Amino acid sequence: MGLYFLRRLGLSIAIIAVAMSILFIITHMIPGDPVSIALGPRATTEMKEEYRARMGIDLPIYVQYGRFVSHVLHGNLGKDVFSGLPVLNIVSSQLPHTVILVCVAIGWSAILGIILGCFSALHRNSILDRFVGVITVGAIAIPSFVVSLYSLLLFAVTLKVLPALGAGESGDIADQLKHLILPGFALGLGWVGYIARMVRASMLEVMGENFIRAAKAYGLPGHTIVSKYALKIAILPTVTLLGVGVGNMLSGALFAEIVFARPGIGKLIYDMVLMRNFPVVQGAVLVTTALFVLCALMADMLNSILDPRVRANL
Amino acid sequence: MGTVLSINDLSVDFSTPNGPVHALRHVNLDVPRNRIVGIVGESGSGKSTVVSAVMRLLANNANVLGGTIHFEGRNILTMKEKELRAIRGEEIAMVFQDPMTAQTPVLSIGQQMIDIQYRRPLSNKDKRQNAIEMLNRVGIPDSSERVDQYPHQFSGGMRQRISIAMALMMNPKLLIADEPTTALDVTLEAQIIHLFRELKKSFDGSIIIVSHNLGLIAELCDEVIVMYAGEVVESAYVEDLFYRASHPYTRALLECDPARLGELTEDLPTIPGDVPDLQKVSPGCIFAPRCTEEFDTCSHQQPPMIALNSTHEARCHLLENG
Amino acid sequence: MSVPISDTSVQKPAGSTAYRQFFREPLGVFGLVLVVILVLAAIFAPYLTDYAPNTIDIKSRLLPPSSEHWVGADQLGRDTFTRVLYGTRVALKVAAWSISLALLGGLLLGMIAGYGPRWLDNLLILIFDAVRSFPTIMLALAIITLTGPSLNMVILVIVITSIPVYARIVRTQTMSLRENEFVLAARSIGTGWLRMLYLHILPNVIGPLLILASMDIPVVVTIESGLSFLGLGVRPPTASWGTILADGYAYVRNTPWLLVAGGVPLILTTLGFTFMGETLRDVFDPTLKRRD
Repeated sequence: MGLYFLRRLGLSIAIIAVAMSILFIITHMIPGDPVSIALGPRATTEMKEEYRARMGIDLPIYVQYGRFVSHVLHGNLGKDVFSGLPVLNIVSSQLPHTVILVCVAIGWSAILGIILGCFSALHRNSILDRFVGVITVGAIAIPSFVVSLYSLLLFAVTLKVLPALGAGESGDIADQLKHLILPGFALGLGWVGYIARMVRASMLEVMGENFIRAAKAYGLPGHTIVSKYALKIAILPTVTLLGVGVGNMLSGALFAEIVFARPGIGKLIYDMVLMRNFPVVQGAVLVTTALFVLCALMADMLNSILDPRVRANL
Repeated sequence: MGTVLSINDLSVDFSTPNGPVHALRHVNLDVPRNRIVGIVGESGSGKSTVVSAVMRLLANNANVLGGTIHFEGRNILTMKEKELRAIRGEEIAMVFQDPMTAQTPVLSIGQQMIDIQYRRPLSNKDKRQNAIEMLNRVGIPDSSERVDQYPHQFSGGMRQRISIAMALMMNPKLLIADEPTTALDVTLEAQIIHLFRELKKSFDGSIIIVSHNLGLIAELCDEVIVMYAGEVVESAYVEDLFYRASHPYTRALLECDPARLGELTEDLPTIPGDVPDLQKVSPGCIFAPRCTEEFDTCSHQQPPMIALNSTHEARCHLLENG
Repeated sequence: MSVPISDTSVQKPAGSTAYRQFFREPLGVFGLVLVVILVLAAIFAPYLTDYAPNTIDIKSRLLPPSSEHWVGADQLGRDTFTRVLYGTRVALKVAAWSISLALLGGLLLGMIAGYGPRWLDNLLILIFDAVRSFPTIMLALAIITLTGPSLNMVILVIVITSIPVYARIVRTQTMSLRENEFVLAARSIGTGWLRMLYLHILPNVIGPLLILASMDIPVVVTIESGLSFLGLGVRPPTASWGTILADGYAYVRNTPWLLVAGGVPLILTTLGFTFMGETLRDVFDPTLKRRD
């Protein structure tokens, strides 16, 4: 088991490394003076000189690459073009906001999705099942940033029941929670649909298995069969789905932060793109990508912990 | 003596897109106390459908058209879900055909065996101990360690033993074994037969064994019924059935059993023809199209059950005149 | 296809019965209808409206729907309905370009991964996984920071991040055919790889690829809209559903109609292509249902 974990961790690190390299290659493939491109049109001459020296622009490309890698390994993701602050600090100050938002979204959508999916599977073809089916399709069909915009329109502007912008007063938890409702809802809505559909399909498959029939033959009560025997297995694909879905959710979070003017990685990237502040953008993208890869790894690990059959094959 | 289970006039249809399939027609079956009853038949004979009906675990498209299944005086077919749950696992228990899919893969064997005991007001520790004892009884070695292992860590033969252990856990009055050795190779089959013989001594309930394997039936059963295409065609004590089989189908089955072949032949004997289409059931004897001794009444009139003695009867026109 | 297919291929229903089956599914037909409407709207945009998409008319600023402006007008008095119609052209153009290029790239790389040496395959898979680990929008933003907003860049990024998905399918099919007797026989008589592609791989791969493409179009269109919404895709004053949404967002307290107008075509596109794609999948290859 430990060996499997190490192998997967190694693979994840390799993926992150390759991703970093791809970004590096892309940066250097853009025609034109790399320094002006990287630092944008607003960079001063001093900044360009400093950048040239630090990055060793005039050195052969593989030396540059080596420096790039060693910088990253030391946590040096470069400096903000304008303020000179280390990118890592800027990014890590904004990261928690995004993480909170994504967790809230995953949390509520997973819970509701599993409940709806379960219900639909157990009451197949009932009115509830069909209703849930229609709703989930609707939820999936609307792109998450459109949901953000529409919920802003409906709840904040038209009905005025929830705050539109910002993250709330710092220190005031209730206010902050209130500001989380709309973005969290908007981000998670599509996922309720995906999860409900997946759980429904999974449950239907599991409930048809022989061991469920055997469990019924032993007279086990319905709720035990559903929760302990069926759901425990049916949920496994959902864990993987969520792990892979984090990437998609991070993109959605970017829009949610912009629409609702919330602080976070997404808003940071957007603001920096407008300012052509490439080091920060690059740093933020790298951190986000690494985060995504690690989430997928965690989901994989969780899967193998929950499913003894997987553990056996390790 | 008493009868533990009494099936009377049971008829079951399955709805399919092409119309109803008449899977069981007027089946009668009695299981006396402390006896082992075998149900023999080919695939499609309805033997599994009968026992599924007893457990009320028929498929969703099954319709019970008529008849009763009396267990200890109560009609299973009219029971509510709550009553059924009280009986399943507790008074009637079932062992299924495929041991590899009979247990849930995500819980340990011990956990599943503890779950079965949910009706008992015992501590978890005691329930676990019961599980270990049961595993011992069916011959699982190192039971106190293996009880915490997962199903995939056991071989097929062991898993079938575990299924039997789980079925016997609550000491039911009736154990139903649906093709218990069909998925196992001959060595394992011999082991399971041995296990059943051992259990016979200590188990004081009745057993129904469903199989197409005549050897298994001969080894273990006291009484046998033979089913063909949804009907009971013969029913007798085991010796009568094997030495004095009266229904042409039974006789053909016995002749065709490879284990019985006196000498090596190139061609295995078979029963010519195919199993009838159960969507269009003929009014005559169900076996007539394949019977070597059939005459004109056979295809027009369904034969009644003719009693050859107090414990042996067969459904055949040939027996009508003594 | 009249070419005999190996045992490893999926048994597909014959062409005509598949079409009939498709048309029996109400959702699939509904999806197809939506798709057709979208395509027609894009092609015939100029004929469906009297306005031009960029004509400014300050007097009509932010008007709600009326008989002159069916969905109202935006902050510069431009007719919203017209802009939505022309936005369809942008959306479908981006979709067509990105998906075609991604299909080509996927076909090529998938075949290389499937046929080539093991180390190359492992390397390619690693690269695919790495590319897929970038949230597409973020990669697009990173590149746009360097190059400035451009629709072509958007298409490029979409192609880069889509190729791995298509390549995977082609690779699997290629690998399973590699050892197939039919193919070994063909190779032994010196059949070139182009013929191999055309005769053996393409027939088996085209179904799943087209289904995937159909389900991918809404994603692509959404990405374009998203980036245009951020002002980093199409350049104003070009009409795109994304820019309409951006205007709607900016003027959300003045009128809801812009926002509605920008989002509805996106939703219809997603519904249409997803229903159509799912029905196609169910009809042609129910085994695909079990994929993630």
